[in-house]
Amino acid sequence: MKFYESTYIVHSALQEGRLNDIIESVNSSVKTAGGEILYSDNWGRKKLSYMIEKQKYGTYVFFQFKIADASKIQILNTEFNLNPNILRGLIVNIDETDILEKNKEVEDDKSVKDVKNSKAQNVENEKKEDKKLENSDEDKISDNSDQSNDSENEDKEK
Amino acid sequence: MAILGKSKICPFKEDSKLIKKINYKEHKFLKKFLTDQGKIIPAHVTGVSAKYQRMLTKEIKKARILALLPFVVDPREN
Repeated sequence: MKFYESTYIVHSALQEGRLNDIIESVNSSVKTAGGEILYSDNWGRKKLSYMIEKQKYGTYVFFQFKIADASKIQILNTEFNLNPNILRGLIVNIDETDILEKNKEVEDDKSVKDVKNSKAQNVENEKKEDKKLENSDEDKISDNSDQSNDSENEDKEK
Repeated sequence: MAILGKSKICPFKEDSKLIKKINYKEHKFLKKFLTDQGKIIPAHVTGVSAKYQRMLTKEIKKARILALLPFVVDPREN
């Protein structure tokens, strides 16, 4: 079992739907090679340091995967070379320890949604707490002013 | 020539956290070791030890393949 990470540059003119098609085609070629994707990330549209196929910009896609049969990595390389929408691809051998957030791909979409919901709830709770704090602050201030008035009155009385 | 402008301490031996940044993904950090023309600055100028200079050059060359760093910069273009 060998671990790899790969980055490829997709033609920047492609819209999101077409971009997802290309990402899926790359992912399927990893599967046909007997690999398993462990982590994937989209770096977004970046300016290239030099022109590739007359393009100044490209969309970077990054992923990490493992393959049992290392000789089959050639399938992915040919995909990079033959797909006209992929400008450039790089495959790098890495250690198992270099894999980022190993469980991200394993988790279901539900858990992601749950996280989002919980985050939203947290935000709402924080807002509520803030409001409470503000209210309590106002109360304290009013209390203080009352007390100060009282004390002033007392002073006057004295 | 080598004596001119030589910094005595290797930055990676001074701060071991920087060693993790020797990676083609950290192209903004690697750019510090390039000249304005895009050449790799020799170790005797930056003071980087031979071990880390070897790692740097490999990662810079990977970043160049992905167009994260330039192979050459023509100063007349800017």
